[in-house]
Amino acid sequence: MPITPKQIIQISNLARIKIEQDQVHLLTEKIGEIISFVDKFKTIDTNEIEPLFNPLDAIQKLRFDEITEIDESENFLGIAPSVRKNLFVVPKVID
Amino acid sequence: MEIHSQSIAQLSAGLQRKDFSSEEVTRAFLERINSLDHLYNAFITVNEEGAMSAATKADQRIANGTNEILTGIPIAHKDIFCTQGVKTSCGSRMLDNFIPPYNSTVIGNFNDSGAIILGKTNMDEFAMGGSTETSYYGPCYNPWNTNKVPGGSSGGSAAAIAASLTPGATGTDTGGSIRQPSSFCGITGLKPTYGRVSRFGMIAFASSLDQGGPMAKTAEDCSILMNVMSGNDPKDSTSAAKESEDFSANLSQKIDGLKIGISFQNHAKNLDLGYQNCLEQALNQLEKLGAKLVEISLPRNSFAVPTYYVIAPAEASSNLSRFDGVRYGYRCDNPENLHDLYTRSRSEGLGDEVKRRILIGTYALSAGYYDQYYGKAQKIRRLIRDEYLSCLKNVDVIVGPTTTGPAFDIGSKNNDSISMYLEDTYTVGANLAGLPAMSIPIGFVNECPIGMQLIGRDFEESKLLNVAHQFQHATDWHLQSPIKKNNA
Repeated sequence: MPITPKQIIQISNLARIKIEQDQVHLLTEKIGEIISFVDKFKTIDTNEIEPLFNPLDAIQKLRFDEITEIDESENFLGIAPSVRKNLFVVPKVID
Repeated sequence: MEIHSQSIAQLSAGLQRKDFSSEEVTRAFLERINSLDHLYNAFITVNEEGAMSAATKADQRIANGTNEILTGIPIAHKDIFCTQGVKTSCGSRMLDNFIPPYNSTVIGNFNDSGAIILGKTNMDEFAMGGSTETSYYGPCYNPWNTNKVPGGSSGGSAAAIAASLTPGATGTDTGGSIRQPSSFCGITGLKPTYGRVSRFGMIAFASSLDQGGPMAKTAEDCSILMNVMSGNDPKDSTSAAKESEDFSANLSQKIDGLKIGISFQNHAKNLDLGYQNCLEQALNQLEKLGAKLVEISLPRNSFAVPTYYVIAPAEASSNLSRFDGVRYGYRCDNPENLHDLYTRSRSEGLGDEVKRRILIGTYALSAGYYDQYYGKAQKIRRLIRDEYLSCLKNVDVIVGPTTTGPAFDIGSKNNDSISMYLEDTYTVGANLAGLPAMSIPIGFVNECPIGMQLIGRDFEESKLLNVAHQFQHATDWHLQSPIKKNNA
């Protein structure tokens, strides 16, 4: 098996995605199938090949460190689920 | 000819001649959506009020002579492009309450040109899918046969054009999401070169593959949409340093002497006989127009789908980490602590296919597996691109099928991820290589339309549009309509 139920629980925790206990086996099987499918590319020899992260081999452009944006914090806070005094509200982190 | 049957070019000419007003055109399409979209579920949001108000302004521009070619033309947008003040859901419960405070560059460009935002079209959740069945808003149905999928992920845009609910639309294409639905719905769609159309404000799925593009009934209309959509954008650091060009300028050029590469070996084993016959006839037509066929070989392309299904989920797992229930989007009720807030907001707000891909991506990027999967996939990607570039030194365009067959039945591939992923067999190569590619209608199999794919060199969209226009000048597949068939 290319991936184990233990690994599925581990990666779901990393991805902050909850998996119900009764779904772990099924998901392991489904994701295992997909991983077996992609594993066929391991037969290609890629020694000495440089990875291609940008399809046109373009280099990320930098811009001058100048303020170009206007302050839109009110607009952005306006769509947040919970806001108080210009801050995003989340559950208590430290008791 | 009725308003809804006209192409963008025809509507634009009619507006210029004052045969009708933008208000009349916009109302005609809104009325069709209101009376027919319950059959297709192509729209998530209809922008009725905003569209009519924009149409009034467009009519003023036309009256005072400051109009452009798209002024007053209603266009539908895939619900992945942020539209200020209009809900942008990306087909997900996660963004069901998201009303963007800004416009994507593409939408801003359309607004500046005076085009009308007709509404936002249905799509696979976060563009992950090839059937528009994973949408939180329910599946979209193919206007040619409502038991069939319209393709995806830009299925709502393709279905809306096929049903003449809009004359044109935007789509996005990460692994075939413009071309495959275009093929399934009998319309014309173009995925431009990576970097040609700004990704600013286009909700990210896989950033090194995503590319927005036009969808319409004809290549000519796609060229008109491209003229507005494309161009360098300082807000997108991956935007190509190329100014927009006039994509309509070369449409009428003859294609005499054009070298077309085709890999018969690659296609013969996967295609059914009906599709092969249509493709052969289309190639004969191109030969009659003066093109020369050249046999090419793309053996690495058989690894394109596995490569894609490592890179795309890996980038998705990173991009979708922003949806955490804190700053915008869905938040779970009564979170116990911060971890619970993140985990339940994501688990309740995202659908199964999206969660599956995030998990695959997280695995491919995790310690101990990065080199085996993500690193390896990016190396194979270079081999695939090199192979395409080598072929494109000897030929002007590469031609083949867009899909492995016509539209499939709704629900038929829901439990078989691999089979669904293999739908992308012919399309993902162009995304991995960053090359421009388009799909045009070439006939019917089992009364459903099928398409032919054209792949070109970097930034040679004009060449693809030229070949497609010449083909459409000589054929009438793009003029077939499910409305004529169903009398809708």
